Amino acid sequence: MSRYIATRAIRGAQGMVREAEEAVNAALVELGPDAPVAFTNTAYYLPVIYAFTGEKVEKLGDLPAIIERAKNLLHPVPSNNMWLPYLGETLDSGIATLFAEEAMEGARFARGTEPQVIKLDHARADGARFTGGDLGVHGDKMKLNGPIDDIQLRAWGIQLVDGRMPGFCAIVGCAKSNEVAVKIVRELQSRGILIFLSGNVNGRSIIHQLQEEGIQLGYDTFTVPFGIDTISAVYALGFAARSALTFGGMDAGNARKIMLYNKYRVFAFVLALGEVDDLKYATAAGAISFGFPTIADTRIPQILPTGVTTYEHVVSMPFDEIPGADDMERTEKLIQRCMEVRGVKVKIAKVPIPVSYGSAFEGERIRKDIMYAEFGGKRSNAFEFLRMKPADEVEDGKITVSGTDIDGMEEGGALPLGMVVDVSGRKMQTDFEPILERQFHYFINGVEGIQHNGQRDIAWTRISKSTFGKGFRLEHFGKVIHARIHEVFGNIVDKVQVHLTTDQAEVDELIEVARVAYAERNERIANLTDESVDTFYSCLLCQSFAPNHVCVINPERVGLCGAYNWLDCKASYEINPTGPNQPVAKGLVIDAEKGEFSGPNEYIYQNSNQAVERVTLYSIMEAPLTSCGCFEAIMVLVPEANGFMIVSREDPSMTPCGMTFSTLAGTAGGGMQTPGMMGMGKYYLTSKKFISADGGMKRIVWLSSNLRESMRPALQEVCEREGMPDLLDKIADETVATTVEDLLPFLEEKGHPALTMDPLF
Amino acid sequence: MEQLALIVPGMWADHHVIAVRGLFRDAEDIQVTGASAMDATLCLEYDPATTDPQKIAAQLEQAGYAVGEAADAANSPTDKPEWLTAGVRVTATDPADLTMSGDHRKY
Repeated sequence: MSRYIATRAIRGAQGMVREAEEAVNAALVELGPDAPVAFTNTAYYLPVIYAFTGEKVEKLGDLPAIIERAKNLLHPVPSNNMWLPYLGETLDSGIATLFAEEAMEGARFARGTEPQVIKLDHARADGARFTGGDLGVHGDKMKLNGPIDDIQLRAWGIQLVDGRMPGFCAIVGCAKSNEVAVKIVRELQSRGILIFLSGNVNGRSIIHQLQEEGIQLGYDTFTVPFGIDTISAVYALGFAARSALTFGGMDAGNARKIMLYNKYRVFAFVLALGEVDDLKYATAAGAISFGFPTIADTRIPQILPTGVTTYEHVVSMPFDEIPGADDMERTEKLIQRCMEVRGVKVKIAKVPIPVSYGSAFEGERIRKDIMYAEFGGKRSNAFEFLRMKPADEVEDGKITVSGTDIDGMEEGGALPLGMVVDVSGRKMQTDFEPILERQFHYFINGVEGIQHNGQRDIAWTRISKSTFGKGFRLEHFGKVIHARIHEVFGNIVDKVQVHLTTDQAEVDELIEVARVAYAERNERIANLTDESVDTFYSCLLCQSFAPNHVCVINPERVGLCGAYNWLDCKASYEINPTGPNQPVAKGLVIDAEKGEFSGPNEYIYQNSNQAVERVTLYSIMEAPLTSCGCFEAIMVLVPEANGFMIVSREDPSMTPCGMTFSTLAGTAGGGMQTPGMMGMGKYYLTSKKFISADGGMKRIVWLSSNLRESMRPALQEVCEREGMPDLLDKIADETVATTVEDLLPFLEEKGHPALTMDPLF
Repeated sequence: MEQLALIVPGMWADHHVIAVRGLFRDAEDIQVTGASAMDATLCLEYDPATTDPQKIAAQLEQAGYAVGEAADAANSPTDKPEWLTAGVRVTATDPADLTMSGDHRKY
């Protein structure tokens, strides 16, 4: 253990706790003890404090007790003549620092000074400073993100568990140059690493650098600016703590389990850019307690033995001393070393195109002012079509382009685009065609500077000026599709050829061929029922976060994350027979009405660590499926209304049961089986088996308005199928009822059927 | 313009750097050329016709950033030793430290 690091970290902790106490006391005098303290849209209070202590900080008056806890974790700075290992003291000081930083941020929230608004000294004149989520740039000022809200945490859940987002990097400080800052972010994005930005050096932050270079910041690009001081880096640890609470089903207050969970399941690390001051050492000590190592691009003492972290604790790589032809090569080696130190396992898609590629680019928005060309949308038609063909009709790697290419277009222009992909493979089945085709959206969106929306004959693709300038042309779409299909579906597909056309006549001709196939697929899927198969599939993807959670996916029920249906799972099993999607024989029918079968019961018992003994697939009231943490919506019993309410993940409003989505999700998630409460994929609502044992759609008394409006046509069909065409308008939402007292009169006025149905219990 | 380097012990973390730089952001006769939280050093250039080091130091002190001497990384700070009163000073290393398991810690 480095005495220098221990000294710096312990001294930083002492300073931070002192300052937090002063800030809290000042806020108490000014605002009073009842002033609310709350991070943005979270059910986990101040999450590090809550996770470690179980204390629910809700108002300023709760903070002095936290400060006292932090003080009790402080230790003396190592003396000159007594050399000790210091490790425990340093780690304690790290946790004290995190408590103090979170208390400080809590006081800032109470004052309304968080999230931070920063001044951009070098504001771009072209306005090309793109942000996502709530980030906003106004003139020379930019509002930063602050802590990540629960909605986003859960939305990232499936990416965290399926490997698309293998970990996160908390960057603190400022890179050597803007060019290096961009390269660091691109290197991390191409690996799918979530990036949190905070801190500064000499008043300048990597946030400033990325803004000046026009890099898109925000949730959509996995690059989240927390704040320009190191204090805001505590949000990264809050994210980690909430991962354990949300997905791991950990109890708040169980610090040891939460730290171990993070050490073994959350692949995070700190990248300290530029000089490291006392507070950065102290915060890094807090991160190390989570099992997250620190890599610095300056010369600092190293802590190389393994222990609290899986490999090294602190690694120093002075940037200018990294071997390399230039700063770009040095950056690549720095990031590579970060991966090694944390042991991040990254699946990099090798795609032969002239720009970067990775899932972090999936959320990029290409606005009109940076767009070079577009295909589809309002100005032209475009479609994508994948079909299975005999092996002798497919030439692997063949990519043909007809019509005008991108370099023949004028800037800002639009053309039609048809993309026909022919595949062959011994294990390929017609059923898999739409599964592969649906992936085009993700495959194409992974290209830097490309925005892809829609599917089938409503596809819409935009290409940025920058990506065009780097040499991206139509054939590269084909290269992307070819490479990614081989990578992801290599077990079922042997050969792939791609034809792209911008010729209007050819597009019009081929689109009709595609539409015939689309119609056939729709019919095939509509005829797929639970009764027509003898095998369901499991999904154990989320067990990396929620060890007791098991999804059983039947043809008439999509996985609760919304990302996997029965056909997806079937294909997944063919691709990877030992993977997370395993066949589950239906076995004997125990209760046809409730959907209880011997096969799923046996499977779920064996694969939930014997935590769950039985499951009913068509009921929420008796042995419902377990819930992980990344469900799209949550359904909850409203006993007073004799029905259920459904809250979507995107809905932050209060609900009639007195809890927001985040709070409800915290109650049901983590792999628990909770009768009367269940996570669900939103399209489960349209299934004929939707809680059919409990009364189906007629039991829904409250539904988040965004869910209802976004799914209105499909839900209207369900209502008509149920024989109540006006049912949808009898269901309340947050605009008419956020309490049971508001809900009941509304239901009575509308004559909602749930009120007169058999009692649920 | 004259150059000046000051030790500002209160500028020990990067949020203080922002605050200190902010003090002189709009000053026409003072330009901050460097502010390091690592060694608590503030470097600036000033116009001797309109200001001097004493005035700058006074401005800093008024904002809570008195000019002083840097704390040595090896020395124990003595200004606010909360740990003396917290009653939890650890003088012996828990053997569990050696395994770095973290189990011995108390949260």
